[in-house]
Amino acid sequence: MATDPANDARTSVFEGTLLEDDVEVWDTGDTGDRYALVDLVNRLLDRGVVITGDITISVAGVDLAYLGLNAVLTSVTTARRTLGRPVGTDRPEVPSPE
Amino acid sequence: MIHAYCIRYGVDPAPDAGLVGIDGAEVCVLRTGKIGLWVSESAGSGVSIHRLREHDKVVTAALTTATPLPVRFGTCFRDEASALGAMAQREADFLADLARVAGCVEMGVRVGWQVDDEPTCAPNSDRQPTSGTEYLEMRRLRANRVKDLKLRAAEVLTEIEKAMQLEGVPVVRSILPVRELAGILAHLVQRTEIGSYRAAVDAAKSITQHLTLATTGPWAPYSFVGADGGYHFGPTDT
Repeated sequence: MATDPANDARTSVFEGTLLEDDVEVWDTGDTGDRYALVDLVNRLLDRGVVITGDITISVAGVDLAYLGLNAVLTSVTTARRTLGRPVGTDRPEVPSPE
Repeated sequence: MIHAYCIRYGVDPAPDAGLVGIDGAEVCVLRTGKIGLWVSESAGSGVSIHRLREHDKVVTAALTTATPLPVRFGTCFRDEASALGAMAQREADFLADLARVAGCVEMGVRVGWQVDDEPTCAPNSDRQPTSGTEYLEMRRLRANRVKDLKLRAAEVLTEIEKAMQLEGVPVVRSILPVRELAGILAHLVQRTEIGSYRAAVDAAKSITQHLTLATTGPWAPYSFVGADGGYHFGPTDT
């Protein structure tokens, strides 16, 4: 039976719309190339031993423990771009169907 | 608040005096049973590139003397007792992981590509939908495009895996549907094999000239720890 490599359980696939402009939000004045930054973020936010701690760090109101790289990059970037205001101050708005 | 960096055997050397982590706080080790947790006091809990780099700096320092289990960024405890309690509860798991990665480091290949065409092309603009129907249609087109990019990225990473010919080496793939970046391959390699790994990447470069390969590492084994494992042994046949 054919398998879908993009949905292989052994493969981490970022489910968000992580396009070029999404990555740039992390390159906020730091030196070094932004793709090296992706390496760092990928490992620190999406990998490593998960231990249940006492304190919850959150991004845009969502617990970091439940966020992968995709969610962090996508939600923060998208929120900034579409809302035009700092994240975490309000819930994202979506267009209302007519 | 206590910020956790990595886990090592309790008998491993303590952090060097003067090693500082997030917020410039000195790093120390909390030991329980046969394991030790590298921690520092932390005043805040924000997420920033600077804090990510400070965290990784500490984990990298630990890597120089023994292979640690890197703790996911953002793991914090109220106090030492709480941290020690959480560690003791899963000591057996951590010891098993430490034994599995002992003597190894994580090496990575960042795979760049150029996606010139627009496969199922969704409009990638800031244009705002004027109706609910249009909004849903834009979302559908964009989802199709991303799905297509993921499939193509997966094929590219499989191609690189095969070109590197690292039979039996644990590998984790991260597919990034980014226009200029197909994804990242992470391999768990023996410290003594880092040179061979770089040579394997160079060999892959010569036969995948349509791609841009960049070697990264050595890293602590971020991609090879945790309950789910999540790795396979490459190259794959998928």
